[in-house]
Amino acid sequence: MGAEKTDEELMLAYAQGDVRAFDALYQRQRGMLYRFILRSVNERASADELFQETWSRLIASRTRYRVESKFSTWLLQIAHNLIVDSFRRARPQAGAEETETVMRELDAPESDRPEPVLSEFEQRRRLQLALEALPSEQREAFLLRVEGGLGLEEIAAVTGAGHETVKSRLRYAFAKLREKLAE
Amino acid sequence: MSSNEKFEREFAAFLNEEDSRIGALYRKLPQTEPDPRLDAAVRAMAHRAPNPELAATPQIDSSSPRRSRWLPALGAAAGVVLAAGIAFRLGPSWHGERGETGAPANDVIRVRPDEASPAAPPPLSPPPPPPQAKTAQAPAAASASAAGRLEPRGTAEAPKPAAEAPLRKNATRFDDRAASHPAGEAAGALGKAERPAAGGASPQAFPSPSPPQERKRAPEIDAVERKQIMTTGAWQDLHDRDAGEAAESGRPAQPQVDEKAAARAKTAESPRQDELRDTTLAAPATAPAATPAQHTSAMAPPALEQSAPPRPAAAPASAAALK
Repeated sequence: MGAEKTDEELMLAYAQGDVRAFDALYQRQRGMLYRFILRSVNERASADELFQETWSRLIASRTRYRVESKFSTWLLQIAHNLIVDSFRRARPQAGAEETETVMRELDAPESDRPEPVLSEFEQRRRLQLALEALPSEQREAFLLRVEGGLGLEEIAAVTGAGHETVKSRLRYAFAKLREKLAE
Repeated sequence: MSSNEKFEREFAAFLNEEDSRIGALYRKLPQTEPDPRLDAAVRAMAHRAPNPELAATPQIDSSSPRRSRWLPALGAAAGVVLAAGIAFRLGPSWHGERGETGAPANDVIRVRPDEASPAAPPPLSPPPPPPQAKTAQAPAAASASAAGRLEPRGTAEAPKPAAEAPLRKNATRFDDRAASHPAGEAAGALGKAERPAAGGASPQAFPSPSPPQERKRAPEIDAVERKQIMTTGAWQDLHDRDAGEAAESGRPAQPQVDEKAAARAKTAESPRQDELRDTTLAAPATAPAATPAQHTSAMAPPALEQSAPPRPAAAPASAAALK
């Protein structure tokens, strides 16, 4: 039943009291949202807290939801505001050691050949490190694009920046990541 | 192709959600997901939101909704009872201002000796008179009990003098009827006297008494009676003497003034005294119709009666009845 309906329809159904609609919606969006938050703050504990707070705010404002944009846009906008607030309170500095630990824990077995696995691991590690090195605005724009699947206009709506500003941030982020991977 | 052009092509593909190297590499990163505990917490939070009572009352508090519904009903019932009690308390005084029949209370005082008898304390209600004298005395007894009931209503100072005047007229009417009609018609006369009073056309002793009023009269009667015991006692001696003289001469007693004083002294009298008084009051009354001033004086303390127009036969007859 949940696969048939769009995210917007499920959210509207939940606003009317259908908790099963929320379960389906949550199952669809939980991974994307968690990864966006985790890779934005680079700390598991903060990511868990921000993740739960994001859903809490969404549940609290369920009756005010209007289908003016994609549901994922609205969800990521809530998460973005919370991330910005958390940056203002404390600036989590994920060190290289923590990044290595996270990468080792999160790494999924992908291939039997050690060299490709190492390569791919190395590539992913470099990408992760390059993301952490990005400025928060550029990193967030990049994650909204690749993780949230949002377009330029939607990223602009989430971050509150202009269209060209978002495009510029993405350009700089893409350029830095491409440079780090080419090293 | 220059590097710059290559970059622009890759960036355009990245923006257009086309397959780019960096995008493909990113999708190969570990697909991190929240812990099961975190999932359970979020789902529980989402399920609680539409049904907050489920969160507070998981299993056992099935009575709390009933209790929460029960308390407002109890509060409403308590409010209704309180309002009814206040209305009931204010009702008699409110009715006293308007009168049950709509007539001003100052002008209408109903006398209902039959209703008063069971509710009033024993001294207030005259016992059944002897068969021979009772029939003639019934109207007089009714007026006497009405007079006695006038005393407890002394709290209404303004209507009291006006009430006394109609009461005196009532008593006079009862006496006249007792004299003119046979004994068997006395009760009917009493009822007839009641009916005009109920209609509000003729003066009556009291508005329709309600049990709280009657209960209220007892302490008032006692207070008034206490004030008049001494004078009543002295007056009783005169009344006894006159009653004895009247009995010898065969003259009827003049109970008009005596009725009022007798009613006042009821609370202090024994039932035997009530019988004696009734006997005296039952005698046909031949005294002239009392004037309003005489009514007023009759209701006043006995001392005022001494200044009233002389009616020597009435005073001794009542005094004899009191004994």
